[in-house]
Amino acid sequence: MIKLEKTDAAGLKKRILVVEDEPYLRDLYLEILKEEGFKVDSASDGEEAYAKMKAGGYDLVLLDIMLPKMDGLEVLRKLKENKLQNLNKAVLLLTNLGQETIISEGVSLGVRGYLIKSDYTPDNLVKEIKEALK
Amino acid sequence: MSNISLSSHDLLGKLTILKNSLFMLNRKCENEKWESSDKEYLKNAAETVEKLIQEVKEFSLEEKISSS
Repeated sequence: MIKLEKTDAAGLKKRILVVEDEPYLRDLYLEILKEEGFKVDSASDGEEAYAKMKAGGYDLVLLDIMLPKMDGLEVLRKLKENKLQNLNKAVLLLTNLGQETIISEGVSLGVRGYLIKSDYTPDNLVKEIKEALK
Repeated sequence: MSNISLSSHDLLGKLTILKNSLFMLNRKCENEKWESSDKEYLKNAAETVEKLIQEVKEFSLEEKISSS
């Protein structure tokens, strides 16, 4: 069995930022990712997400699209406008419906892909995240 | 009767919470020895939620097609 790396070359735990305004889902994602050995941080609205992404250093950001204060795409646009879009290694959009226009705008703003939340149970979500971190 | 409005997006959000909650409950019931009839209730609930998710997605797609 292949052992998936949860640390980088320096032996540090991989850092994931979970941006989700629904408290139950946010807490659940934090719990399952911590169980898997990742270093996890969270944000509950677009402004908090922007501030944390601006500080950078995340191996992966799970970014919900519908967020209070500033939506996920707006966060990405603002990062790009300020030339801050490369401070985090990868971004995956979280969505409830896979709206093509939103996804394609996300891709043009540099996201690696998207996850339709209702398609995933927590264990499947973890598998996708590990795949994205490879 | 008052009008109730819930978008497909909101409904999917709520169903996603239910789906995840049932998954976590199922994980717990596998660790603790639950009666098989209790596991069956849980399985039925998870299957029903999954069907609802698919129906809402189909409805949302049909709505999009008819409005375009």
